[in-house]
Amino acid sequence: MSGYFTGVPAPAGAGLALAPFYLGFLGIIPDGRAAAPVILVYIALVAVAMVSRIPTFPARPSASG
Amino acid sequence: VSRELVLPILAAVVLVAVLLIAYTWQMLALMALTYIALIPFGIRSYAAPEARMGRPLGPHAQARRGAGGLAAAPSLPGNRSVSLLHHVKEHALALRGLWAPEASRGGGSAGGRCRKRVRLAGAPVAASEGLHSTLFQPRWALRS
Repeated sequence: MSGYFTGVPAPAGAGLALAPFYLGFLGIIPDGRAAAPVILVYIALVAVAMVSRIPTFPARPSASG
Repeated sequence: VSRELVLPILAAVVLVAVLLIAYTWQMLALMALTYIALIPFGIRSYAAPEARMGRPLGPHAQARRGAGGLAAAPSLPGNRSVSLLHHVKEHALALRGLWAPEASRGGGSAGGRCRKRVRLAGAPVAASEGLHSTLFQPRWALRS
């Protein structure tokens, strides 16, 4: 799997996990309580993507892991 | 990076930094959504060359090769003539941590077929082959 990261890297995973916060600050997610179950599932999916072997675009060329 | 690309890359980095400072939450949300949108393209671009070059050897296929060539040729990965049922059986046995040769080899039993089951010491329990079975397998499950 050369040229790809294996799984979502930790910094990108952190950014993805915080995406609901960004959308909340922008007012796209108005009510946190109503969106909580959806955000819960989203965070779980991000966690699975981080420990999976999904090939993702690397930040630097010819990098893996 | 070639010399011609240094300035454009630097300009892009500066532009992104300025946009991050000016429109912090918009930019962060945009970057997160862009990253999510790019994941399927990453999987597709990885799957395309793998399909052309044939599947890589999985852990239990490597172990089988090292087991003195007990397995018959049709079970070699990448052979498109292998039946789907054969692979399903192979995966099911690998998931149970067991591996059975194609049929009885040497010696029979009263029942007719004596299936010899060999436990692979080095093979992980969740050994698997192919893109679909390895993509969503946690890294720790494949570590030897």
